[in-house]
Amino acid sequence: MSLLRPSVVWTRVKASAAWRSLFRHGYEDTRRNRLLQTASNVFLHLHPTTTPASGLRFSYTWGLGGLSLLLFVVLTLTGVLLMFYYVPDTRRAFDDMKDIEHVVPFGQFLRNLHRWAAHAMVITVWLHMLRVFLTSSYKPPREFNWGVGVALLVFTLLLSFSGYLLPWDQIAFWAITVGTNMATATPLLGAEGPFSLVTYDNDIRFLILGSRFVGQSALLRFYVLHCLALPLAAAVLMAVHFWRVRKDKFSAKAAPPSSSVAAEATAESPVAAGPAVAGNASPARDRAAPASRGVDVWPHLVAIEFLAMLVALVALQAWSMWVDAPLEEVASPTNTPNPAKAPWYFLGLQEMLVYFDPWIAGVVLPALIIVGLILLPYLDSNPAGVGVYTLRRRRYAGSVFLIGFFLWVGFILVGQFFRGPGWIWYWPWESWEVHKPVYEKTWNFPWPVGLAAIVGYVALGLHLPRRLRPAVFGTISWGRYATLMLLVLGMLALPIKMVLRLAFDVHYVLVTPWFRI
Amino acid sequence: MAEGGYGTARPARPPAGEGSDAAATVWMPRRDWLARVTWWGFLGSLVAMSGASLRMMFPRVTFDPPATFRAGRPEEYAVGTVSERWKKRHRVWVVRTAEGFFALSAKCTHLGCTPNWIETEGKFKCPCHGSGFDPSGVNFEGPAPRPLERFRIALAEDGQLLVDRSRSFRQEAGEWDRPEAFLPFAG
Amino acid sequence: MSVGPPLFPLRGWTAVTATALAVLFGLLLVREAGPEWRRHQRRAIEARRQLAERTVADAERSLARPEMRRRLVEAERRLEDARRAEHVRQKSGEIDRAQQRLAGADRQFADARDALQRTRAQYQAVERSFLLAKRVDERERWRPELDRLRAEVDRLAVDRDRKTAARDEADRLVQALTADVASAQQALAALQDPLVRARGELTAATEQPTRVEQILVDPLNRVDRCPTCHLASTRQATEMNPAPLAGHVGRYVVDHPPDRFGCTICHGGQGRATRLPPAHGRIAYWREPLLDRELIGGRCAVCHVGATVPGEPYAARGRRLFQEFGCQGCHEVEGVSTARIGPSLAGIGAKVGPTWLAMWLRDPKTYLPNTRMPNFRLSSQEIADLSALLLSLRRGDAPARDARTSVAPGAVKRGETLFKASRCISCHAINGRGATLGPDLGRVASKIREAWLFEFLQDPPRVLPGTRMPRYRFSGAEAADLVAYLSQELRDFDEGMWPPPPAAPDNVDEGRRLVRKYGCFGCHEIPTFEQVGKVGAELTGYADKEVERLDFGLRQDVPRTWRAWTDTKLRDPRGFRDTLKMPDFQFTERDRFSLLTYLASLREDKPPTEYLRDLPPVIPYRPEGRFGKLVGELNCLVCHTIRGQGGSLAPDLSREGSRVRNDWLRRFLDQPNTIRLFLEERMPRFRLSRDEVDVLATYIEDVLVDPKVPAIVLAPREITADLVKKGRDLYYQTYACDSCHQIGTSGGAIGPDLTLAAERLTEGWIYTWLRDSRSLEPEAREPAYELPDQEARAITAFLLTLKGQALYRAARD
Repeated sequence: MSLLRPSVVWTRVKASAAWRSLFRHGYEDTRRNRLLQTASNVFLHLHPTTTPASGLRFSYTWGLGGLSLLLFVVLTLTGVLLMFYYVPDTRRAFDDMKDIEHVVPFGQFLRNLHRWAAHAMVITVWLHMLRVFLTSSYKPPREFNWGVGVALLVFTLLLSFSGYLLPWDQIAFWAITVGTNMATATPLLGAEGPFSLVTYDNDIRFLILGSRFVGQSALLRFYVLHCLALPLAAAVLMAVHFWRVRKDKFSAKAAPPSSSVAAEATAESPVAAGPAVAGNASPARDRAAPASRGVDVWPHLVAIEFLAMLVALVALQAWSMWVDAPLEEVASPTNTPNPAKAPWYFLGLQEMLVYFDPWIAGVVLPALIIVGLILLPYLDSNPAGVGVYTLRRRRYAGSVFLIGFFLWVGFILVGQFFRGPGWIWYWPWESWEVHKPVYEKTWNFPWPVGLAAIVGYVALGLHLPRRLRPAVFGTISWGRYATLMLLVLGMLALPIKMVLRLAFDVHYVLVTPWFRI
Repeated sequence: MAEGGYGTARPARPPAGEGSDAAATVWMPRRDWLARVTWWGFLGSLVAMSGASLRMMFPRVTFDPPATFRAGRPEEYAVGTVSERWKKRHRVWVVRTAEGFFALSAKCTHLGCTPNWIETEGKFKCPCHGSGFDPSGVNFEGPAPRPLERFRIALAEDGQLLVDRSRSFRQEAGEWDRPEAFLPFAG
Repeated sequence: MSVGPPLFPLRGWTAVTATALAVLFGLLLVREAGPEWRRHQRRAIEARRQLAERTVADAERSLARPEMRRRLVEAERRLEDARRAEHVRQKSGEIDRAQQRLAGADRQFADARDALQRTRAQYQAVERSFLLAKRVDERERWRPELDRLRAEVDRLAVDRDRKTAARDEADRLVQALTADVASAQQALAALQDPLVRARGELTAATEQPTRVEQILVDPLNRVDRCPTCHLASTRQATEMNPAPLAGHVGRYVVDHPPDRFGCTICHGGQGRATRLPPAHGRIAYWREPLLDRELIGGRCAVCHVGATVPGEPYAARGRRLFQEFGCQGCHEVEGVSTARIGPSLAGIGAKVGPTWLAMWLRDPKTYLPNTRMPNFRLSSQEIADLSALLLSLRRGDAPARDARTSVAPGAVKRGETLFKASRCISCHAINGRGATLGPDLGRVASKIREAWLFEFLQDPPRVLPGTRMPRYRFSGAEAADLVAYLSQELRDFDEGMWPPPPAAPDNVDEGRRLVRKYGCFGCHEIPTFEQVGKVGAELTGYADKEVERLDFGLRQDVPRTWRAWTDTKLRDPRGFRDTLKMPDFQFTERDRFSLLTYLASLREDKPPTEYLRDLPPVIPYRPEGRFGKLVGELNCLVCHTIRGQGGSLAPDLSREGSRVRNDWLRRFLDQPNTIRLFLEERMPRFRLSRDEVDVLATYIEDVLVDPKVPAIVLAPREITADLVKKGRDLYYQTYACDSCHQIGTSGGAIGPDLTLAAERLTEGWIYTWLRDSRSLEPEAREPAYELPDQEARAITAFLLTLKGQALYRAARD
């Protein structure tokens, strides 16, 4: 009888070979167990076993990277469940959505969760990028990882875009139509782009859609991309990204100046993360002084992460239980809604269409944005500010990035709330029932003037900064400088064009038979 | 050395008397009701999540074709005949005897082919391997190991015959005597 | 030893959020476990169960009645007796022996059958070798074996049959011995059957599971889950069912089995949804909301495309009104003929005067209260311009006389006589009294110029192309007389009081512009406007028009629904905006509702062809040859119908050749007379030549026949006095035909006079009519007697001899 007492049984279970093969260390709160908990667990060993106390500060990273990962996992799980009830056939996709909503238990909730998590993920990855920028965590040795992060951003947007089509309702159909129509304007590879080499039957839009129009082949293609190809690629990139983060010591606070030089020189050597006690840089001393070793990740950091996860899940769950994901009527190729809007994260591009032709607004500018983002670490020669939120020490980089960021966000807000039928400006309180007439009297620069303006703009843009701030801009190589300034000029072209258009009714700055700017 | 696991609690010891081997027992911090709440809450959510996911895999409707069909009025069948009217669409013979109706499954019990009713010889003959069944469905020749199965047959409320292919009855198990396997119908 | 930062708030918050997460999941589970439809189903099932309980109680009570108890006891006693008798037989071994005999017979039968099969198989094998043998001698080698086996097979077959008979006999014996018990059991069961069934129903009701009920209608590509809440809606309602179990009203679910139609095809709504409000479809982004009950009639007409929709008068009426009011003149609808309903305006300049024209354009109803032309609410300037244009439309040949030059003495009197004799009132009303096929003539002389009338009466199709008025072949003098009469008597004696036409300067080009604007050519043929397209919106698929595409214009008070917009439009066509052109038809409420229902049937998606009903014939009948020419000239099909084409004012002539005797027909065509006493209209006299009569009569006799009407029924010698007497008795006594028909001077006045039936009707027709009148005339008022052959022959004989055998023989030869 005594053999069956719970504690005795428990002891014997835990002493058994089976148990010990599963759990290689105990759970009692010993130092050894804590370290092993982190180091010997495949999911947790992304963390170091200890971290400086500053690493626990939530308001440093706001957990945005982890949150993005959490949302990705939620999306994968809910996505897989939804796949059991959805067939990417244009004749039944919409009906499957209705069935999920009505006859699949928890179907509506699952769908909501999937959609809101997707939107949330787009937001968190943008904010994560903003945070990484603000803490200069892209500076050497982390340049490559920043590039991987930009790639992940692009993948996130593509995942969201490809999934947007699947419900096959009017929102989906026309959003993707608008989005892919921009691809036709690609220079060289688009049927309607400048210097087009292709026709409608083999241009880049045809490649994306598998057809000239959004239809069955587009649906199937997007389904495969959304469920298989893009998640796999994103997962691989995430592995690289997390590995790099870990190896580069996370979002390290800046080490004191001496160690930062050492960091630049030896990019790969393990640089101690800033110790809790300021001024203590020597690795040897780090190892020696337990106090400067930092706190155990298990349980301290993990507990914070756990709470963050719970809060995020609670918020997501509550939102999904009470706000339904939209579903309008079944897609109708002949019935265009007015206005037809791209998904919200592409509304910025659609708004840019007011000021630029599609080949610029839809192809060139987005490409420049991506290229510019990837090149950012290589163009930013200012080593200051790593690990802290500061703009004062990096005024130029800060202003360029933030201008771009808020332009992007601002355009999205405009496109979402201030644009109505015909893409005319409507204040939020104005009804869309009465369509405002489209009336625009614009004029173009004559081509010599326009050409001169553009050349002058570029020339001035290249000349002036170096001339006026040699300390900042004179110290970097010409290649870098030119690249940097061309990107900045490209970005500033947008507000300039806005002013020209809104204040002076200028439509095109340069008109040629092949393209217009 | 065991420390306050979550930092703030005073270092606590496992209550004495719980077991002789301190290291082997599960240690819980003293202020453990908070932790218990947390873990139960979280585990509860996980269980609920799994339960919901599992429930989600059982849709409330299926799109299978219905197993039950109406086979017309009894008067449309002559006494002592085997009707092939529903053979193609539902794979069923409706047989009427002097006593009433039964529905035979047109699936040979050997390997599942569809036999043919040969009026002149008064038997069902399977073209695949030659199994033969008499008009009541009993096998008497060929490799078929057992008689044809009968389906549930009843009278619907509008007076038509109702055949339910989702319930079948085997003669060798004595199930043909069940009331749903045979519909008594006089005249 | 590492001390982390203070974590208490962390632990607290973690606990709170973990709990919150668990609570949310709990809420989610609870919400999902109790969907709305379950509540409705439980109520319905509970009601069913209660009803079943009451039925069980009733059945038990009825079995407890003394009468029933007595019968039960009797039945039980019978059963007892039968059992005892069987027991005795059982004890004496009779039953056992019989059963053993049956078993033996069964075995023997099985053996015989197996032997037969085996031998037959052997035979077939040998036969195969025989047939496949390449050479004759080989084949012959097989023959003995073949013959032997065949003989064996035959023998065994006989044996098998014998054994079958023996087994059946043995089986019958066993049955006989146990039959009593079986029948007694059956009798007892029959008495208890209501109770058993009621109990079965109670069990079913108690065990009925709640689940989503779904109807899959593949041909219509719909999935309807309405029965999930409306559990009993797929069955017909009977008065036995109380409210939650109430089934579907009427016979609709019997005639339209749910598994073929579903629910939403008639009612609208979102079939795939399982909760409100999405299920009823009255939400954003669902194009097919649940229809108002009144508009469901429109859905009937989507499949029932024929003229009448059974049980739904408004859709059919709406379809008729749509064509009568000429809506298709401005609004294109696929499948609706675009014949112009108004008269041609080609020569109107010579036909009417400016005063009348202005009055008409201002408000047609002031001249003709029941006209179909709507009020275009024209301004004076517009009237002036349009009048200028219309009055300029003259045909090439100007009338010979512009005004009455001389009136012959007595012309008015002669004209009046001719007018009455020609029975103009068959088509034209006079001040509201009479038919409405042609215009009211009460004030015709105030409208129409005499010269035009004069030409018109002599040759209507030449003066007014497309007119329905037949050519009466009036001579010039007769026409002049008629014109004199009309001019004197049939005019508006207050025409001096008519408002003068507008004095504004007018403009023919402006008039053309107005014609183009208002689309007059939709109803009237107007020179140079023959090919212009319709001015109104196309209404094909109008029922599915999205509310967002309906222009509510400046009206804020109209609810934003399809029905409200359409109703308002019909009520006040120009109410939404100033620039609208649709004229005012001044519909009555009933007309409006009928049109609304019809418009609700104009759906974009047509149902599959197997769902359509009452399709009109693909190729309409057109009379050919000289007959066709005459029919066109005389406009016979305005009043008569032949093979589905034509009017309903006069009898259907499709089988006239089988119906009437040819000599009578010829006489009738020459001089039409009345065959019914109380008939208001009569066929006019067309003054046909002999040749024309011949053409008509020959065609009718040869082509317009019914093959199932025999030409001859009775041989002359069969018409005996007995048969005639029998017929007379049947006529007057058995069937009292004289209550409706006349013979001589006595009889009723509902049916036609039969005195001269023999002269007019063929004997085959009389006979067929008596046998089965419905097959000849489905809508006849005579009750369908369906007389047996002998009686029909007798009555036929009687009718044929009404004026004596002599007349009959004469008519026959």
